[in-house]
Amino acid sequence: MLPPDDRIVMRLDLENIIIEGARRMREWEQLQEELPNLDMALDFLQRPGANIRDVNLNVEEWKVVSYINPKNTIRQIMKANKMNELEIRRIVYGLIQAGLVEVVRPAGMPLPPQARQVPAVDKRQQSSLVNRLIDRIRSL
Amino acid sequence: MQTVKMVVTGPFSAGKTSFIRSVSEIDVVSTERKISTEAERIKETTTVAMDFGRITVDDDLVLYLFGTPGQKRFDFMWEILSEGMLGFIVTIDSTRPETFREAKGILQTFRAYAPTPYVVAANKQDMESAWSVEDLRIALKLDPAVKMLPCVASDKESVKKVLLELLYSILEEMEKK
Ligand SMILES: Nc1nc2c(ncn2[C@@H]2O[C@H](COP(=O)(O)OP(=O)(O)O)[C@@H](O)[C@H]2O)c(=O)[nH]1
Ligand SMILES: [Mg+2]
Repeated sequence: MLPPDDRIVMRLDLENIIIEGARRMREWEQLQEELPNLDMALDFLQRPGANIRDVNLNVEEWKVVSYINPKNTIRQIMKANKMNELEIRRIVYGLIQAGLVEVVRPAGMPLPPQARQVPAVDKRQQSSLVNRLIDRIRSL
Repeated sequence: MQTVKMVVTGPFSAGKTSFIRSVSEIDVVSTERKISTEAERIKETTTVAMDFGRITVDDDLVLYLFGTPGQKRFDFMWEILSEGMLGFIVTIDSTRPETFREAKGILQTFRAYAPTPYVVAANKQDMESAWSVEDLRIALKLDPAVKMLPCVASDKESVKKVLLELLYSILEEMEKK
């Protein structure tokens, strides 16, 4: 005779929880190992592998990608996106595995937090910014 | 360190990817992704096709080019797109009148979301069947004040011209305030 349904469900749930817990521990350890230092920066690979075209990015990944620059540390990207360490490590690890980015030594001094993505405030600063863009595009 | 963005939008196959590829210093990252809304609970999915290019201006300034088809349900992408967005470019396939209405719709959606300057790039002007800029302006019922520029997205000089016109508009807009 079969045991009542709820007993089976209970057992499977418990097993799943244990398996899932162990999986997360392993993932956390592995990510710590793969990406020990969040104070490193990221840059796009200049010669990306063939698999790059197949990369599927989700919204969270796009958020990270939009901050990638040798000057931004992984920790700064994490804070800018209000992510935790596991989340940022998981995403960055995925991007590295996909051959999209590489870990690089951060260029120059670390950024003051307010320097992120904030458009220039006063008018003179703004037009200077646009003029720099114009000069750069002209020189392309 | 500042990051500014320009968004390149337009119907499917209008030339967004080609446009960004012509001027980006990194290999343009293109992606198509089915994204579930509302944290997977609602099963409905939306395809998000995005391109991503970069132009480093100097030590303190980077310009990102984002290509997006601007489909209706992209609220969740808007946060990413709009932050630091200077302006946008609507690309149109000048050879395909059946897409003009959609292009106009995308333009209006973007206008509603972002009161930033924009230009319209009448793309594929190298093709014989391309509508002229004048005819396109009439077909799209564009205000004479809106800049519409002939474009060949695979031609770097042509893309530069469109970007520069947008930047001139941005500068003008700033001076007005
Ligand atoms: N002749 C011509 N073909 C173009 C031009 N721009 C794009 N194409 C082609 O049109 C197709 C769609 O372009 P794509 O950039 O992928 O469009 P997207 O869907 O808006 O990203 C591709 O086959 C391109 O090579 C252009 O200015 N002239
Ligand atoms: Mg495309």
